[in-house]
Amino acid sequence: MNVHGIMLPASEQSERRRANPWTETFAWLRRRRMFMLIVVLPTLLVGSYFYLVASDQYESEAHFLVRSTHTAEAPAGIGMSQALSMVTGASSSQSEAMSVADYLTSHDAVATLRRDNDLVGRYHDRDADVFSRLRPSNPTPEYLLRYFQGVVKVNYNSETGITTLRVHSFRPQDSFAIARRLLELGELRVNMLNERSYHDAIDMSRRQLAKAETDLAAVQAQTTRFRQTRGDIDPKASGEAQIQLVSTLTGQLAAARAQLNAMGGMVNHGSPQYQALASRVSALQAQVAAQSGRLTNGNHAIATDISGYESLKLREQFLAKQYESAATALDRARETALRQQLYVVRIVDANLPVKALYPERGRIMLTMVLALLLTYSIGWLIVAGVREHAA
Amino acid sequence: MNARISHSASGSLLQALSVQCRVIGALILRELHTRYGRENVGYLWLFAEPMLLATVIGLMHKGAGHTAYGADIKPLPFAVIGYTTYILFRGIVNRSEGSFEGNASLLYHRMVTVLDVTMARCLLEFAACFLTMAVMMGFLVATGLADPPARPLVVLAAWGLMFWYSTGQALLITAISYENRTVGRLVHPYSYFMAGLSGAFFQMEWLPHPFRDWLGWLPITSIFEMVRYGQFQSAKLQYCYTEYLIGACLLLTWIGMVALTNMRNRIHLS
Repeated sequence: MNVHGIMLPASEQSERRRANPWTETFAWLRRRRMFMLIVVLPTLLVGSYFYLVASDQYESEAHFLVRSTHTAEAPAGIGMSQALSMVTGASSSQSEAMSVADYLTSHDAVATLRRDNDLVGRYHDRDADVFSRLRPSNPTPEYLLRYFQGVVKVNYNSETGITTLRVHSFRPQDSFAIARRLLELGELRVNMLNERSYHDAIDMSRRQLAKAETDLAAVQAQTTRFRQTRGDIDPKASGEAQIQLVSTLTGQLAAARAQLNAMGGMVNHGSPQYQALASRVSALQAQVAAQSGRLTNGNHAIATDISGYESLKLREQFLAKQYESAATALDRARETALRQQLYVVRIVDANLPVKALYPERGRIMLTMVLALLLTYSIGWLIVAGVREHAA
Repeated sequence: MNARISHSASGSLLQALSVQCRVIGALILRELHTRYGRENVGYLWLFAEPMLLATVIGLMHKGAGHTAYGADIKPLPFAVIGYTTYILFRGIVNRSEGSFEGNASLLYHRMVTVLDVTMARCLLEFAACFLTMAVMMGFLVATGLADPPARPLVVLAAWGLMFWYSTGQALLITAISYENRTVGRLVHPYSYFMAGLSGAFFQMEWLPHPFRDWLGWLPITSIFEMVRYGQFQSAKLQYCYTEYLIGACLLLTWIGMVALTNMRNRIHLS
């Protein structure tokens, strides 16, 4: 079995030799035409683009962490034993970091950069080559976003929790400016998220506190009105004073009666002394009856005052307690919200690139040549295999 | 045999290609008969065998009481798609070992080459496994145990890459195991080890840091990441190194074909 590569048509071999170098070269090229087509031509095309046409790109890089004060633990990988049996999901700190990375490559951030930082002008560059520059001078947001995601790479590393931001552009200053601006945008976004979550957490407690306050004020106003209408500052205290008065009077009455009884056995009932004492006893009796009546009977009795006043007092105490607990809840909510604040920690600030490291011409060419050579040799082997079936 | 003599190179090449296609088709039919017998029910074994295994594995995962791994990655379809894709690799690699015993006599015919024999086996295996996968996933989708694939084209691409990757290895193994029996013995352990290492039953992101990077060097892990990305909406392509995978496939294919060419020159049909 003999395996030819690309067989020469028999007609060409029988041709008489002419020592023309052009013909020789042409014939040689023709013999190798598949190799030329599959390996040499693409290599030449791509190589000439990269080495003659493609414009330099400068990379500015920045690293940052997104962390909150309460999560001290670093996001760790998940062990194999857990992998086979456990539910996995992003931890909260991971999702926070990812949210910033997600925002930085979103149409939102692109629109901001376009408005404030002349994003289109920087990439729609007459000096840059036609393949890598932003072609339309007024691109649609969708097209700009796709282009932007090609030149700005945001990578979140789940082991370290560090987000790496890489910006490519055609001028060092552009890369630097965009990278710095993106960092700022990330910080702004985090601050906005913080503010929102802070307000969400606090507003509820705030409302409760305000309600407790107004209720308390209303009850106190009712108490004041009560005092004014009843003409009594503290029915409870005045009730006690009244009881005191009645008991004093009753004591005096009992003493006077005893004195009168004792005197009645010794002196004449008509004597002035006895008369005076008797009138004192009757006066005391009338006084005791009147004062006891003030305690319980009638519309202005102290007893009715006390019951109304007591219920007001009770409500006031209850509301005061409610107010207190609402105030502590607000303090606690404020504390937790403050503890859950996120920070963007800049680990590595954006740098001003000096040397253009991109596109990686040598690497791309090497990869390409190797891949093409492999493809060609596989193709050659397959064709050789197929040829064996030829009749 | 069409004995029309063609003067143009491409004409004869096309002719040769059509002959080769017919040869491979015939070899596939022959393979079916030798493997599953001539009864009609024999063809059922083509996918009944992997399906039984996949069902058992799926039920094991189901019985373990898993909840979903992610937003929509349910354990049962996760296990089934991982296993059926792994079956493709295992079937092609295992059957390529010593694929010559049964077919050596065929090489008396000038039309039949070593490559044809190997390719016929690989293609048959691919058809069987793809049928298995389609039937099982179809059943799961129909019963509501799984969602339909989120990105069907990606699933197909991953299967195509798995076929390429496995066939590249099959060529090499066919060539080596013909002369070296020791290597042939190692093929089965290799494919079983791969069941654990290939990422058929775990996602790369579950792994702790150093191991994930090490396993990333195995091209097969990228294939499984890609299959899951095609099947599940919430799966990620973060640890799928497509360029590396394609490069590895190219290199394997090249090495395999060269090894096969070298081996063919040493075949002596006793």
